[in-house]
Amino acid sequence: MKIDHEIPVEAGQKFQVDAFKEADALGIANLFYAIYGADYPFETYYIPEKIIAENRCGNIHSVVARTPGGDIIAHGAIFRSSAPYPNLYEIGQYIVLKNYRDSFAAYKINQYIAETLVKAVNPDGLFGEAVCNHTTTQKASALIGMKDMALEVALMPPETYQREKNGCDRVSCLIQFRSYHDRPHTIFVPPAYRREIEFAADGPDFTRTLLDSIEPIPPDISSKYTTAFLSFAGVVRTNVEAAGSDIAAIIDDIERQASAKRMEVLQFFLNLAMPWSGKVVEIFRKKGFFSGGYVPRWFDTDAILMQKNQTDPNFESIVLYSPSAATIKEFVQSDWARTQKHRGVTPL
Amino acid sequence: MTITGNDITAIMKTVGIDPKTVDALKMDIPLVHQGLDSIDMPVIAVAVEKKFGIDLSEANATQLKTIDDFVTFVNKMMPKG
Repeated sequence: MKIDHEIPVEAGQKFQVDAFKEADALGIANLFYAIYGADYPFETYYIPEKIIAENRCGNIHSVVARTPGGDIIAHGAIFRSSAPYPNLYEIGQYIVLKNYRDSFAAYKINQYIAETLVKAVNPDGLFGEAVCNHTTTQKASALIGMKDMALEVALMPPETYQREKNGCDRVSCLIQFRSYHDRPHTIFVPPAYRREIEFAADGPDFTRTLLDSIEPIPPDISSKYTTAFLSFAGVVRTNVEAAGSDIAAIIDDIERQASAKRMEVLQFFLNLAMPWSGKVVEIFRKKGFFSGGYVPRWFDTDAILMQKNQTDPNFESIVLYSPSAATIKEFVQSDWARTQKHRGVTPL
Repeated sequence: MTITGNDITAIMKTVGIDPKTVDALKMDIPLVHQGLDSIDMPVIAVAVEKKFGIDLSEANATQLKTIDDFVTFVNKMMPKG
């Protein structure tokens, strides 16, 4: 049954960080209601039975900070989200009751996930989408070995954070990634983004063979893709596992639908295992898309994110914690500026 | 053995706090008012705990707001002699 009111939790209690138990579900739902009211976009977290079901089937692996009496004062999780590859989990859903914000609950949950939970779940990788209106989440992810990869520009509406009084512009998100079990493979690098991909894929976590993608798109292949309209965020997210000769028409169709639904952000994750990914990227670039960066293991194989914003993003509002994240922002902003030149607009 | 504020700031630099931020820190002003955040605080507390071999319970750690607080607490907890 959906939670529709807050059950008060006494401040100052001791707590223990632990993996999810079914008896925690009501406390988790209460926690989400206490922080977000009825406005959190994922209904699952208001319904204890759904929290249990999703944890049972492995779509969510919750970690909680639990008081001796069973109250839940903080939550974090790894969970299956937008990535098509089921053994790539997202890390997030961190929330802490206001009375416990000066405790170390979030930090301890973060450490528990990295040191204990991943051994039980055994994901190939974790990715996070850390908000860029402050650096706390980015730093928390870096603490557990996650590396900066890509930037989703102006992804989330400010209303998402209104209750927290942080938001003004749409909030960008830094994609961070940690590999646990790499899958060495060949990726076909769009010439326009070789520098960006080499920068992000550098390091001991990845074994990749980078080939220039120069092949033409085969005329006899149809695109294989899935699209999700994330209405709460105004985001249309499309995973293009394979792009064929129909890809330009598909982009146009999704853009039309997005416009009709007043979506603010279009995202396409393109599979870099396609030998013709370079030509596909060129189509996106001609249509005003710019790169967000390299996203490992999105399809099991790696991806590149191409994105477009209906409203000019405010890059000045993006707050980043590290030099590598700043470099990624420079890449992304520079590519966005290119799209403005195509529009005949001089970027600020 | 007693420690000073410099011992604490040296630890901060080893756990990834921006050295420029650390060098500008005042000893008696809460760290969260000087550019550190809710992730930095537990990281520092755990590093101090490990460095000096003291038991920094959560209840104690959350009371440590300034560098001076850390120095006083560690000196009180460390074995004398």
